[in-house]
Amino acid sequence: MSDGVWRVLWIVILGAGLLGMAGLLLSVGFGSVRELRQSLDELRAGSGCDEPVDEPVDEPVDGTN
Amino acid sequence: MELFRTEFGTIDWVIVIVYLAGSILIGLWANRYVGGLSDYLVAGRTLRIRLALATMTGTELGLVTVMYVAELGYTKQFASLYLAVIEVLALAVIGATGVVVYRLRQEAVLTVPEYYERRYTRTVRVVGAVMMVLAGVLNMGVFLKAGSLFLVGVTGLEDPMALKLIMSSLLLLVLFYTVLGGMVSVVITDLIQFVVLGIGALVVSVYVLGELGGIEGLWELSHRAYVNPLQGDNPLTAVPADGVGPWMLTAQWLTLSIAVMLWPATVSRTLAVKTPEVARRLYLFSTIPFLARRTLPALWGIGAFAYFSLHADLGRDLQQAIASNELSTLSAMPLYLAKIIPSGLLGLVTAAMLAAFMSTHDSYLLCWGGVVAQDIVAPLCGGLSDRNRVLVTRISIVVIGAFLLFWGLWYEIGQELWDYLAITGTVYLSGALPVIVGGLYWRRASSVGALAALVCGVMGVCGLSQVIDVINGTFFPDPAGFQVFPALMMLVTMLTPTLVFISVSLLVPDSRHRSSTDGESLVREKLS
Repeated sequence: MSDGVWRVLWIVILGAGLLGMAGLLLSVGFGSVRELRQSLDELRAGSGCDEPVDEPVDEPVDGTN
Repeated sequence: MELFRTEFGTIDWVIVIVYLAGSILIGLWANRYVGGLSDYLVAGRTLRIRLALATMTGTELGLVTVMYVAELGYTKQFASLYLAVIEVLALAVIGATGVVVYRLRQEAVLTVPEYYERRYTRTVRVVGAVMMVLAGVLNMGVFLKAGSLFLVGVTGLEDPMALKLIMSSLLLLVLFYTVLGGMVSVVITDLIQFVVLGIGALVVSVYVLGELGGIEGLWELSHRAYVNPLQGDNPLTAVPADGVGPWMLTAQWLTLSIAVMLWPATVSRTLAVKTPEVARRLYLFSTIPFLARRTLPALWGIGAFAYFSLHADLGRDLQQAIASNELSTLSAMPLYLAKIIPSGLLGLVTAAMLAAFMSTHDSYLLCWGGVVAQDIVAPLCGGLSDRNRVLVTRISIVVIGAFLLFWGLWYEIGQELWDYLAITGTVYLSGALPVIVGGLYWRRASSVGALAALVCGVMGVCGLSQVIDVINGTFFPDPAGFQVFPALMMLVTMLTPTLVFISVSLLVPDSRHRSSTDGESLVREKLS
Protein backbone atom coordinates (compact mmCIF):
# COMPACT_ATOMS: atom_id res chain seq x y z
CA MET A 1 0.00 0.00 0.00
CA SER A 2 1.35 3.43 -0.87
CA ASP A 3 1.68 6.19 1.71
CA GLY A 4 -1.16 8.08 -0.02
CA VAL A 5 -3.62 5.26 0.68
CA TRP A 6 -2.52 5.09 4.31
CA ARG A 7 -3.03 8.86 4.68
CA VAL A 8 -6.57 8.69 3.31
CA LEU A 9 -7.35 5.71 5.55
CA TRP A 10 -6.11 7.46 8.70
CA ILE A 11 -7.98 10.71 7.98
CA VAL A 12 -11.19 8.73 7.40
CA ILE A 13 -10.67 6.77 10.63
CA LEU A 14 -9.98 9.91 12.65
CA GLY A 15 -13.13 11.52 11.24
CA ALA A 16 -15.18 8.40 11.97
CA GLY A 17 -13.93 8.36 15.55
CA LEU A 18 -14.92 12.00 16.08
CA LEU A 19 -18.36 11.65 14.51
CA GLY A 20 -18.89 8.29 16.21
CA MET A 21 -18.29 9.77 19.66
CA ALA A 22 -20.67 12.66 18.96
CA GLY A 23 -23.33 10.27 17.66
CA LEU A 24 -22.85 7.95 20.60
CA LEU A 25 -23.36 10.74 23.11
CA LEU A 26 -26.59 11.81 21.42
CA SER A 27 -28.10 8.39 20.81
CA VAL A 28 -26.98 6.53 23.92
CA GLY A 29 -26.90 9.36 26.45
CA PHE A 30 -30.66 10.01 26.72
CA GLY A 31 -31.79 6.41 26.30
CA SER A 32 -29.39 5.14 28.92
CA VAL A 33 -30.80 7.45 31.60
CA ARG A 34 -34.24 5.91 31.06
CA GLU A 35 -32.74 2.42 31.15
CA LEU A 36 -30.91 3.24 34.37
CA ARG A 37 -34.21 4.23 35.95
CA GLN A 38 -35.74 0.92 34.83
CA SER A 39 -32.79 -1.06 36.22
CA LEU A 40 -32.95 0.76 39.56
CA ASP A 41 -36.70 0.14 39.75
CA GLU A 42 -36.11 -3.57 39.14
CA LEU A 43 -33.37 -3.68 41.76
CA ARG A 44 -35.56 -1.88 44.27
CA ALA A 45 -38.42 -4.28 43.58
CA GLY A 46 -36.01 -7.19 43.95
CA SER A 47 -36.84 -8.49 40.50
CA GLY A 48 -33.26 -8.38 39.23
CA CYS A 49 -33.12 -12.12 38.84
CA ASP A 50 -30.38 -14.11 37.09
CA GLU A 51 -32.44 -15.03 34.05
CA PRO A 52 -35.23 -12.66 33.08
CA VAL A 53 -38.68 -14.08 32.62
CA ASP A 54 -39.76 -11.40 30.20
CA GLU A 55 -37.81 -10.30 27.19
CA PRO A 56 -36.09 -6.92 27.58
CA VAL A 57 -37.13 -3.89 25.59
CA ASP A 58 -34.21 -3.42 23.22
CA GLU A 59 -34.96 -0.85 20.62
CA PRO A 60 -32.29 -0.11 18.03
CA VAL A 61 -29.60 2.04 19.55
CA ASP A 62 -30.20 4.84 17.08
CA GLY A 63 -33.74 5.39 18.30
CA THR A 64 -33.86 8.13 20.90
CA ASN A 65 -37.25 7.72 22.43
CA MET B 1 9.94 26.52 33.22
CA GLU B 2 8.06 27.39 30.01
CA LEU B 3 7.49 23.71 29.27
CA PHE B 4 5.25 23.45 32.35
CA ARG B 5 3.29 26.65 31.66
CA THR B 6 -0.44 25.94 31.99
CA GLU B 7 -3.80 27.67 31.67
CA PHE B 8 -5.08 25.65 34.66
CA GLY B 9 -6.45 28.09 37.27
CA THR B 10 -8.65 28.34 40.37
CA ILE B 11 -11.90 27.93 38.45
CA ASP B 12 -10.55 24.65 37.04
CA TRP B 13 -9.79 23.34 40.53
CA VAL B 14 -13.34 24.26 41.61
CA ILE B 15 -14.85 22.34 38.67
CA VAL B 16 -12.74 19.28 39.47
CA ILE B 17 -13.55 19.34 43.21
CA VAL B 18 -17.31 19.74 42.62
CA TYR B 19 -17.25 16.81 40.25
CA LEU B 20 -15.38 14.59 42.69
CA ALA B 21 -17.72 15.52 45.56
CA GLY B 22 -20.66 14.51 43.36
CA SER B 23 -19.11 11.08 42.88
CA ILE B 24 -18.99 10.52 46.65
CA LEU B 25 -22.67 11.36 47.00
CA ILE B 26 -23.59 8.93 44.21
CA GLY B 27 -21.60 6.16 45.91
CA LEU B 28 -23.56 6.72 49.10
CA TRP B 29 -26.89 6.86 47.29
CA ALA B 30 -26.29 3.69 45.22
CA ASN B 31 -25.73 1.57 48.31
CA ARG B 32 -29.50 1.45 48.93
CA TYR B 33 -30.00 -0.64 45.77
CA VAL B 34 -27.60 -3.41 46.71
CA GLY B 35 -29.59 -6.36 48.03
CA GLY B 36 -27.57 -9.51 47.37
CA LEU B 37 -24.47 -10.85 45.69
CA SER B 38 -25.93 -10.68 42.18
CA ASP B 39 -26.89 -7.04 42.74
CA TYR B 40 -23.41 -6.26 44.01
CA LEU B 41 -21.38 -8.02 41.30
CA VAL B 42 -23.52 -7.75 38.14
CA ALA B 43 -26.22 -5.22 39.14
CA GLY B 44 -28.77 -8.04 39.27
CA ARG B 45 -28.22 -8.56 35.51
CA THR B 46 -30.62 -5.71 34.78
CA LEU B 47 -28.55 -3.81 32.21
CA ARG B 48 -30.08 -3.10 28.81
CA ILE B 49 -28.21 -2.25 25.67
CA ARG B 50 -27.80 1.54 25.95
CA LEU B 51 -26.88 1.53 29.61
CA ALA B 52 -24.44 -1.34 29.09
CA LEU B 53 -22.91 0.50 26.14
CA ALA B 54 -22.55 3.76 28.07
CA THR B 55 -20.92 2.08 31.05
CA MET B 56 -18.71 -0.08 28.86
CA THR B 57 -17.48 3.09 27.16
CA GLY B 58 -16.84 4.63 30.57
CA THR B 59 -14.79 1.61 31.56
CA GLU B 60 -12.86 1.13 28.34
CA LEU B 61 -12.12 4.79 27.68
CA GLY B 62 -10.04 5.14 30.81
CA LEU B 63 -7.37 7.74 31.51
CA VAL B 64 -4.72 5.08 31.07
CA THR B 65 -6.14 4.40 27.58
CA VAL B 66 -6.13 8.08 26.79
CA MET B 67 -2.51 8.32 27.94
CA TYR B 68 -1.10 5.35 26.06
CA VAL B 69 -3.02 6.06 22.84
CA ALA B 70 -1.87 9.70 22.96
CA GLU B 71 1.69 8.53 23.65
CA LEU B 72 1.54 6.32 20.56
CA GLY B 73 0.07 9.24 18.60
CA TYR B 74 3.01 11.40 19.71
CA THR B 75 5.73 8.82 18.98
CA LYS B 76 4.26 7.04 15.94
CA GLN B 77 1.70 9.61 14.73
CA PHE B 78 -0.76 8.27 12.12
CA ALA B 79 0.82 4.81 12.03
CA SER B 80 -0.39 4.26 15.60
CA LEU B 81 -3.97 4.13 14.29
CA TYR B 82 -3.45 0.55 13.12
CA LEU B 83 -4.60 -0.47 16.63
CA ALA B 84 -7.99 1.16 15.95
CA VAL B 85 -8.43 -0.90 12.79
CA ILE B 86 -7.55 -4.17 14.54
CA GLU B 87 -9.80 -3.52 17.51
CA VAL B 88 -12.83 -2.40 15.50
CA LEU B 89 -12.57 -5.33 13.10
CA ALA B 90 -12.32 -7.78 16.00
CA LEU B 91 -15.37 -6.29 17.72
CA ALA B 92 -17.37 -6.28 14.50
CA VAL B 93 -16.67 -9.97 13.91
CA ILE B 94 -17.61 -10.88 17.49
CA GLY B 95 -20.72 -8.68 17.34
CA ALA B 96 -21.86 -10.10 14.02
CA THR B 97 -21.30 -13.75 14.92
CA GLY B 98 -21.65 -13.76 18.72
CA VAL B 99 -18.65 -16.07 18.85
CA VAL B 100 -17.71 -16.98 22.44
CA VAL B 101 -19.61 -14.10 24.12
CA TYR B 102 -23.07 -15.47 23.29
CA ARG B 103 -22.35 -18.89 24.73
CA LEU B 104 -20.50 -17.44 27.69
CA ARG B 105 -23.53 -15.31 28.65
CA GLN B 106 -25.77 -18.38 28.16
CA GLU B 107 -23.79 -20.08 30.92
CA ALA B 108 -25.28 -17.48 33.35
CA VAL B 109 -22.14 -17.36 35.47
CA LEU B 110 -21.04 -14.38 37.57
CA THR B 111 -17.34 -14.60 36.65
CA VAL B 112 -15.15 -16.33 34.07
CA PRO B 113 -13.51 -18.71 36.59
CA GLU B 114 -16.98 -19.85 37.64
CA TYR B 115 -17.33 -21.10 34.09
CA TYR B 116 -14.00 -22.93 34.51
CA GLU B 117 -15.48 -24.99 37.34
CA ARG B 118 -18.68 -25.67 35.47
CA ARG B 119 -16.79 -26.91 32.43
CA TYR B 120 -13.65 -28.37 34.05
CA THR B 121 -12.91 -28.69 37.78
CA ARG B 122 -12.75 -26.59 40.92
CA THR B 123 -8.93 -26.62 40.77
CA VAL B 124 -9.06 -25.08 37.29
CA ARG B 125 -11.35 -22.41 38.67
CA VAL B 126 -8.99 -21.47 41.51
CA VAL B 127 -5.84 -21.56 39.36
CA GLY B 128 -7.59 -19.60 36.60
CA ALA B 129 -8.74 -17.00 39.11
CA VAL B 130 -5.24 -16.62 40.58
CA MET B 131 -3.78 -16.07 37.09
CA MET B 132 -6.53 -13.61 36.25
CA VAL B 133 -6.01 -11.53 39.37
CA LEU B 134 -2.21 -11.64 39.00
CA ALA B 135 -2.36 -10.39 35.41
CA GLY B 136 -5.12 -7.90 36.10
CA VAL B 137 -3.50 -6.30 39.11
CA LEU B 138 -0.08 -6.12 37.42
CA ASN B 139 -1.80 -4.57 34.41
CA MET B 140 -3.62 -2.09 36.57
CA GLY B 141 -0.49 -1.28 38.54
CA VAL B 142 0.57 1.50 36.17
CA PHE B 143 -2.81 3.20 35.91
CA LEU B 144 -2.07 5.45 38.87
CA LYS B 145 1.25 6.56 37.45
CA ALA B 146 -0.32 7.35 34.07
CA GLY B 147 -3.00 9.38 35.85
CA SER B 148 -0.44 11.30 37.87
CA LEU B 149 1.56 12.15 34.75
CA PHE B 150 -1.58 13.58 33.20
CA LEU B 151 -2.26 15.73 36.26
CA VAL B 152 1.32 16.99 36.40
CA GLY B 153 1.19 17.98 32.74
CA VAL B 154 -2.18 19.69 32.87
CA THR B 155 -2.03 21.42 36.26
CA GLY B 156 1.69 22.21 36.26
CA LEU B 157 1.83 20.70 39.74
CA GLU B 158 5.47 19.75 40.06
CA ASP B 159 5.65 18.99 43.80
CA PRO B 160 5.92 15.18 43.93
CA MET B 161 4.41 14.95 47.42
CA ALA B 162 1.31 16.97 46.48
CA LEU B 163 0.88 14.82 43.44
CA LYS B 164 1.12 11.57 45.41
CA LEU B 165 -1.45 12.88 47.87
CA ILE B 166 -3.87 13.81 45.09
CA MET B 167 -3.53 10.46 43.36
CA SER B 168 -3.91 8.58 46.64
CA SER B 169 -7.03 10.60 47.43
CA LEU B 170 -8.49 9.78 44.01
CA LEU B 171 -7.88 6.10 44.57
CA LEU B 172 -9.47 6.29 48.01
CA LEU B 173 -12.49 8.00 46.47
CA VAL B 174 -12.93 5.21 43.92
CA LEU B 175 -12.45 2.59 46.64
CA PHE B 176 -15.07 4.31 48.73
CA TYR B 177 -17.92 4.23 46.25
CA THR B 178 -16.98 0.88 44.72
CA VAL B 179 -16.74 -0.90 48.07
CA LEU B 180 -20.01 0.61 49.14
CA GLY B 181 -22.22 0.30 46.09
CA GLY B 182 -20.64 -2.47 43.98
CA MET B 183 -21.79 -2.76 40.36
CA VAL B 184 -24.85 -0.58 40.95
CA SER B 185 -22.62 2.28 42.03
CA VAL B 186 -20.17 1.54 39.21
CA VAL B 187 -22.94 1.64 36.60
CA ILE B 188 -24.39 4.93 37.84
CA THR B 189 -21.04 6.69 38.13
CA ASP B 190 -19.88 5.22 34.81
CA LEU B 191 -22.95 6.65 33.11
CA ILE B 192 -22.22 10.13 34.45
CA GLN B 193 -18.54 9.68 33.62
CA PHE B 194 -19.49 8.59 30.10
CA VAL B 195 -21.34 11.88 29.52
CA VAL B 196 -18.63 14.07 31.10
CA LEU B 197 -15.88 12.14 29.34
CA GLY B 198 -17.66 12.17 25.97
CA ILE B 199 -18.20 15.93 26.07
CA GLY B 200 -14.64 16.51 27.32
CA ALA B 201 -13.14 14.31 24.60
CA LEU B 202 -15.09 16.13 21.88
CA VAL B 203 -14.11 19.57 23.22
CA VAL B 204 -10.41 18.62 23.27
CA SER B 205 -10.60 17.09 19.79
CA VAL B 206 -12.20 20.21 18.34
CA TYR B 207 -9.51 22.38 19.93
CA VAL B 208 -6.73 20.13 18.68
CA LEU B 209 -8.20 20.02 15.19
CA GLY B 210 -8.50 23.82 15.20
CA GLU B 211 -4.89 24.14 16.36
CA LEU B 212 -3.79 21.84 13.52
CA GLY B 213 -5.64 23.91 10.91
CA GLY B 214 -8.63 21.60 10.44
CA ILE B 215 -8.74 18.63 8.08
CA GLU B 216 -6.47 20.40 5.61
CA GLY B 217 -3.84 20.99 8.27
CA LEU B 218 -4.11 17.36 9.36
CA TRP B 219 -3.67 16.24 5.77
CA GLU B 220 -0.62 18.48 5.38
CA LEU B 221 0.83 17.10 8.60
CA SER B 222 0.42 13.52 7.37
CA HIS B 223 2.99 14.27 4.66
CA ARG B 224 5.71 14.84 7.25
CA ALA B 225 4.70 12.16 9.77
CA TYR B 226 4.96 8.38 10.16
CA VAL B 227 2.00 6.86 8.31
CA ASN B 228 2.85 3.31 7.21
CA PRO B 229 2.70 0.79 10.12
CA LEU B 230 4.16 -1.98 7.95
CA GLN B 231 7.40 -0.01 8.01
CA GLY B 232 9.47 -1.30 10.94
CA ASP B 233 11.60 1.87 11.10
CA ASN B 234 10.03 5.14 12.12
CA PRO B 235 11.30 7.50 9.38
CA LEU B 236 11.35 10.46 11.78
CA THR B 237 13.85 9.02 14.24
CA ALA B 238 17.41 7.78 14.00
CA VAL B 239 16.72 4.82 16.32
CA PRO B 240 16.54 1.56 14.34
CA ALA B 241 13.39 -0.62 14.47
CA ASP B 242 11.41 1.80 16.67
CA GLY B 243 8.36 1.76 14.39
CA VAL B 244 5.58 -0.82 14.26
CA GLY B 245 6.53 -3.37 11.58
CA PRO B 246 5.02 -6.76 10.68
CA TRP B 247 6.11 -8.55 13.89
CA MET B 248 4.55 -6.03 16.24
CA LEU B 249 1.49 -5.73 14.01
CA THR B 250 0.90 -9.49 14.16
CA ALA B 251 1.50 -9.67 17.91
CA GLN B 252 -0.88 -6.76 18.56
CA TRP B 253 -3.51 -8.17 16.21
CA LEU B 254 -3.50 -11.45 18.14
CA THR B 255 -3.46 -9.85 21.59
CA LEU B 256 -6.09 -7.21 20.87
CA SER B 257 -8.49 -9.59 19.13
CA ILE B 258 -8.41 -11.89 22.15
CA ALA B 259 -8.52 -9.02 24.65
CA VAL B 260 -11.74 -7.50 23.29
CA MET B 261 -13.38 -10.91 23.63
CA LEU B 262 -12.00 -12.18 26.93
CA TRP B 263 -10.60 -9.32 29.03
CA PRO B 264 -12.30 -9.84 32.42
CA ALA B 265 -13.53 -6.28 32.92
CA THR B 266 -15.19 -6.41 29.48
CA VAL B 267 -16.57 -9.89 30.12
CA SER B 268 -18.01 -8.77 33.47
CA ARG B 269 -20.13 -6.24 31.54
CA THR B 270 -21.13 -8.99 29.10
CA LEU B 271 -22.24 -11.14 32.02
CA ALA B 272 -24.22 -8.25 33.51
CA VAL B 273 -26.51 -7.71 30.51
CA LYS B 274 -30.01 -9.14 30.37
CA THR B 275 -29.70 -11.78 27.65
CA PRO B 276 -27.09 -13.46 25.39
CA GLU B 277 -28.52 -11.52 22.44
CA VAL B 278 -27.91 -8.22 24.23
CA ALA B 279 -24.35 -9.41 24.90
CA ARG B 280 -23.81 -9.98 21.18
CA ARG B 281 -25.31 -6.64 20.21
CA LEU B 282 -23.28 -4.90 22.88
CA TYR B 283 -20.15 -5.97 21.03
CA LEU B 284 -21.49 -4.82 17.67
CA PHE B 285 -22.38 -1.36 18.99
CA SER B 286 -19.13 -1.18 20.97
CA THR B 287 -17.25 -0.71 17.69
CA ILE B 288 -18.16 3.00 17.91
CA PRO B 289 -16.80 3.81 21.40
CA PHE B 290 -13.81 1.56 20.83
CA LEU B 291 -13.06 3.42 17.61
CA ALA B 292 -13.34 6.68 19.53
CA ARG B 293 -11.02 5.52 22.29
CA ARG B 294 -8.36 4.56 19.76
CA THR B 295 -8.65 7.64 17.57
CA LEU B 296 -9.43 10.74 19.65
CA PRO B 297 -6.47 10.46 22.05
CA ALA B 298 -4.27 9.54 19.06
CA LEU B 299 -5.36 12.82 17.47
CA TRP B 300 -4.29 14.66 20.63
CA GLY B 301 -0.90 12.89 20.52
CA ILE B 302 -0.52 13.83 16.86
CA GLY B 303 -1.40 17.40 17.84
CA ALA B 304 1.32 17.33 20.52
CA PHE B 305 3.80 16.05 17.93
CA ALA B 306 2.92 18.96 15.60
CA TYR B 307 3.00 21.52 18.42
CA PHE B 308 6.41 20.51 19.76
CA SER B 309 7.78 20.32 16.22
CA LEU B 310 6.54 23.83 15.49
CA HIS B 311 7.71 25.33 18.82
CA ALA B 312 11.27 24.17 18.50
CA ASP B 313 12.45 25.57 21.86
CA LEU B 314 9.71 23.78 23.79
CA GLY B 315 10.27 20.64 21.73
CA ARG B 316 13.95 20.73 22.60
CA ASP B 317 13.17 21.17 26.32
CA LEU B 318 10.78 18.22 26.15
CA GLN B 319 13.28 16.00 24.37
CA GLN B 320 15.97 16.88 26.92
CA ALA B 321 13.62 16.11 29.80
CA ILE B 322 12.75 12.77 28.19
CA ALA B 323 16.41 11.94 27.56
CA SER B 324 17.29 12.67 31.20
CA ASN B 325 14.31 10.55 32.40
CA GLU B 326 12.81 13.60 34.08
CA LEU B 327 9.74 13.12 31.86
CA SER B 328 8.52 10.41 29.49
CA THR B 329 6.76 10.59 26.13
CA LEU B 330 3.55 10.05 28.10
CA SER B 331 3.77 13.66 29.28
CA ALA B 332 3.73 15.21 25.79
CA MET B 333 -0.06 15.20 25.38
CA PRO B 334 -1.02 16.72 28.78
CA LEU B 335 1.71 19.37 28.47
CA TYR B 336 0.28 20.23 25.05
CA LEU B 337 -3.35 20.42 26.25
CA ALA B 338 -2.31 22.69 29.13
CA LYS B 339 -1.16 25.23 26.57
CA ILE B 340 -3.95 25.19 24.00
CA ILE B 341 -7.12 24.84 26.11
CA PRO B 342 -8.30 27.93 28.00
CA SER B 343 -8.94 28.06 31.73
CA GLY B 344 -12.46 26.89 32.63
CA LEU B 345 -12.59 24.44 29.79
CA LEU B 346 -9.38 22.93 31.06
CA GLY B 347 -11.18 22.20 34.35
CA LEU B 348 -13.94 20.42 32.45
CA VAL B 349 -11.39 18.43 30.48
CA THR B 350 -9.50 17.50 33.64
CA ALA B 351 -12.75 16.46 35.32
CA ALA B 352 -13.48 14.37 32.21
CA MET B 353 -10.10 12.70 32.43
CA LEU B 354 -10.48 12.07 36.15
CA ALA B 355 -13.87 10.60 35.26
CA ALA B 356 -12.05 8.33 32.84
CA PHE B 357 -9.56 7.43 35.57
CA MET B 358 -12.27 6.56 38.07
CA SER B 359 -14.62 4.72 35.70
CA THR B 360 -11.86 2.30 34.76
CA HIS B 361 -10.61 1.84 38.30
CA ASP B 362 -14.03 1.11 39.75
CA SER B 363 -14.90 -1.58 37.19
CA TYR B 364 -11.49 -3.20 37.40
CA LEU B 365 -11.44 -3.16 41.21
CA LEU B 366 -14.89 -4.70 41.35
CA CYS B 367 -13.97 -7.28 38.75
CA TRP B 368 -10.78 -8.44 40.49
CA GLY B 369 -12.31 -8.17 43.97
CA GLY B 370 -15.26 -10.27 42.83
CA VAL B 371 -12.97 -12.91 41.38
CA VAL B 372 -10.96 -13.15 44.63
CA ALA B 373 -14.13 -13.67 46.68
CA GLN B 374 -16.06 -15.85 44.24
CA ASP B 375 -13.33 -17.92 42.72
CA ILE B 376 -10.44 -18.12 45.17
CA VAL B 377 -11.66 -17.64 48.75
CA ALA B 378 -15.13 -19.23 48.43
CA PRO B 379 -14.00 -22.46 46.70
CA LEU B 380 -11.03 -22.84 49.07
CA CYS B 381 -13.25 -22.30 52.13
CA GLY B 382 -15.82 -24.79 50.86
CA GLY B 383 -18.39 -22.07 50.15
CA LEU B 384 -19.41 -18.74 51.66
CA SER B 385 -22.76 -17.13 52.33
CA ASP B 386 -23.80 -14.26 50.02
CA ARG B 387 -23.24 -11.82 52.84
CA ASN B 388 -19.70 -13.09 53.42
CA ARG B 389 -18.95 -13.05 49.69
CA VAL B 390 -19.86 -9.37 49.50
CA LEU B 391 -17.70 -8.78 52.59
CA VAL B 392 -14.70 -10.63 51.09
CA THR B 393 -15.17 -8.75 47.80
CA ARG B 394 -15.07 -5.46 49.68
CA ILE B 395 -11.96 -6.45 51.62
CA SER B 396 -10.27 -7.65 48.41
CA ILE B 397 -10.99 -4.32 46.71
CA VAL B 398 -9.30 -2.48 49.58
CA VAL B 399 -6.27 -4.83 49.54
CA ILE B 400 -5.89 -4.49 45.75
CA GLY B 401 -6.20 -0.72 46.11
CA ALA B 402 -3.38 -0.69 48.67
CA PHE B 403 -1.19 -2.73 46.32
CA LEU B 404 -1.92 -0.35 43.43
CA LEU B 405 -0.84 2.58 45.53
CA PHE B 406 2.42 0.87 46.43
CA TRP B 407 3.15 -0.45 42.91
CA GLY B 408 2.07 2.74 41.14
CA LEU B 409 4.42 4.87 43.19
CA TRP B 410 7.65 2.93 42.67
CA TYR B 411 7.45 0.84 39.48
CA GLU B 412 9.24 2.41 36.50
CA ILE B 413 7.71 1.61 33.10
CA GLY B 414 10.56 0.27 30.94
CA GLN B 415 8.75 0.48 27.59
CA GLU B 416 5.87 2.32 25.98
CA LEU B 417 2.83 2.10 28.26
CA TRP B 418 0.72 0.17 25.76
CA ASP B 419 3.41 -2.50 25.37
CA TYR B 420 3.49 -2.95 29.15
CA LEU B 421 -0.30 -3.33 29.25
CA ALA B 422 -0.37 -5.78 26.36
CA ILE B 423 2.40 -7.89 27.89
CA THR B 424 0.88 -8.11 31.38
CA GLY B 425 -2.50 -8.80 29.79
CA THR B 426 -0.93 -11.74 27.99
CA VAL B 427 -0.39 -13.51 31.33
CA TYR B 428 -4.14 -13.97 31.57
CA LEU B 429 -5.24 -13.90 27.94
CA SER B 430 -2.84 -16.53 26.60
CA GLY B 431 -4.15 -19.13 29.06
CA ALA B 432 -7.79 -18.02 29.01
CA LEU B 433 -8.06 -18.21 25.22
CA PRO B 434 -7.72 -21.99 24.86
CA VAL B 435 -9.46 -22.75 28.16
CA ILE B 436 -12.59 -20.68 27.40
CA VAL B 437 -12.82 -21.17 23.65
CA GLY B 438 -11.82 -24.84 23.92
CA GLY B 439 -14.30 -25.34 26.73
CA LEU B 440 -17.15 -23.81 24.74
CA TYR B 441 -16.44 -25.41 21.37
CA TRP B 442 -14.18 -28.47 21.78
CA ARG B 443 -15.52 -31.63 23.42
CA ARG B 444 -12.08 -33.10 24.07
CA ALA B 445 -10.84 -30.10 26.07
CA SER B 446 -9.63 -31.59 29.35
CA SER B 447 -9.10 -30.26 32.87
CA VAL B 448 -5.41 -31.18 32.92
CA GLY B 449 -4.98 -29.41 29.57
CA ALA B 450 -6.74 -26.36 31.00
CA LEU B 451 -4.50 -26.30 34.07
CA ALA B 452 -1.35 -26.63 31.96
CA ALA B 453 -2.46 -23.80 29.66
CA LEU B 454 -3.33 -21.46 32.54
CA VAL B 455 0.02 -22.03 34.26
CA CYS B 456 1.83 -21.51 30.95
CA GLY B 457 0.35 -18.00 30.89
CA VAL B 458 3.00 -16.96 33.45
CA MET B 459 5.40 -16.96 30.50
CA GLY B 460 3.73 -13.68 29.55
CA VAL B 461 5.96 -11.74 31.97
CA CYS B 462 8.90 -12.68 29.72
CA GLY B 463 7.72 -9.88 27.42
CA LEU B 464 8.58 -7.16 29.98
CA SER B 465 11.64 -5.17 28.93
CA GLN B 466 13.45 -5.95 32.19
CA VAL B 467 13.03 -9.72 31.65
CA ILE B 468 13.98 -9.47 27.96
CA ASP B 469 17.20 -7.70 29.00
CA VAL B 470 18.00 -10.59 31.34
CA ILE B 471 17.19 -13.19 28.64
CA ASN B 472 19.35 -11.43 26.06
CA GLY B 473 22.17 -10.87 28.56
CA THR B 474 22.16 -14.55 29.54
CA PHE B 475 21.44 -16.40 26.29
CA PHE B 476 22.14 -13.91 23.49
CA PRO B 477 24.95 -11.68 24.72
CA ASP B 478 26.07 -10.56 21.24
CA PRO B 479 24.09 -7.39 20.38
CA ALA B 480 25.00 -7.81 16.69
CA GLY B 481 23.57 -11.36 16.63
CA PHE B 482 20.07 -12.66 17.39
CA GLN B 483 18.25 -10.79 20.14
CA VAL B 484 14.85 -11.46 21.64
CA PHE B 485 12.44 -8.53 21.19
CA PRO B 486 9.01 -7.74 22.76
CA ALA B 487 6.84 -8.60 19.72
CA LEU B 488 8.50 -12.01 19.37
CA MET B 489 8.03 -12.75 23.07
CA MET B 490 4.39 -11.65 22.88
CA LEU B 491 3.73 -14.03 20.01
CA VAL B 492 5.55 -16.94 21.64
CA THR B 493 3.88 -16.47 25.00
CA MET B 494 0.46 -15.98 23.42
CA LEU B 495 0.59 -19.13 21.30
CA THR B 496 2.42 -21.56 23.62
CA PRO B 497 -0.47 -22.13 26.09
CA THR B 498 -2.82 -23.00 23.20
CA LEU B 499 -0.39 -25.58 21.85
CA VAL B 500 0.12 -26.97 25.36
CA PHE B 501 -3.65 -27.06 25.94
CA ILE B 502 -4.33 -29.06 22.76
CA SER B 503 -1.45 -31.49 23.33
CA VAL B 504 -2.20 -32.16 27.01
CA SER B 505 -5.96 -32.44 26.40
CA LEU B 506 -5.32 -35.13 23.80
CA LEU B 507 -2.77 -36.93 25.97
CA VAL B 508 -4.68 -36.67 29.29
CA PRO B 509 -8.41 -36.60 28.53
CA ASP B 510 -11.07 -36.22 31.22
CA SER B 511 -12.69 -39.43 32.39
CA ARG B 512 -16.00 -38.04 31.09
CA HIS B 513 -16.73 -34.99 28.96
CA ARG B 514 -18.40 -32.13 30.82
CA SER B 515 -19.14 -29.73 28.01
CA SER B 516 -22.37 -27.75 27.95
CA THR B 517 -23.03 -29.30 24.54
CA ASP B 518 -23.18 -32.70 26.25
CA GLY B 519 -25.49 -31.26 28.87
CA GLU B 520 -27.85 -30.04 26.19
CA SER B 521 -27.79 -33.47 24.53
CA LEU B 522 -28.72 -35.12 27.82
CA VAL B 523 -31.67 -32.78 28.28
CA ARG B 524 -32.83 -33.49 24.73
CA GLU B 525 -32.54 -37.26 25.34
CA LYS B 526 -34.59 -37.00 28.54
CA LEU B 527 -37.25 -34.92 26.85
CA SER B 528 -37.56 -37.35 23.98
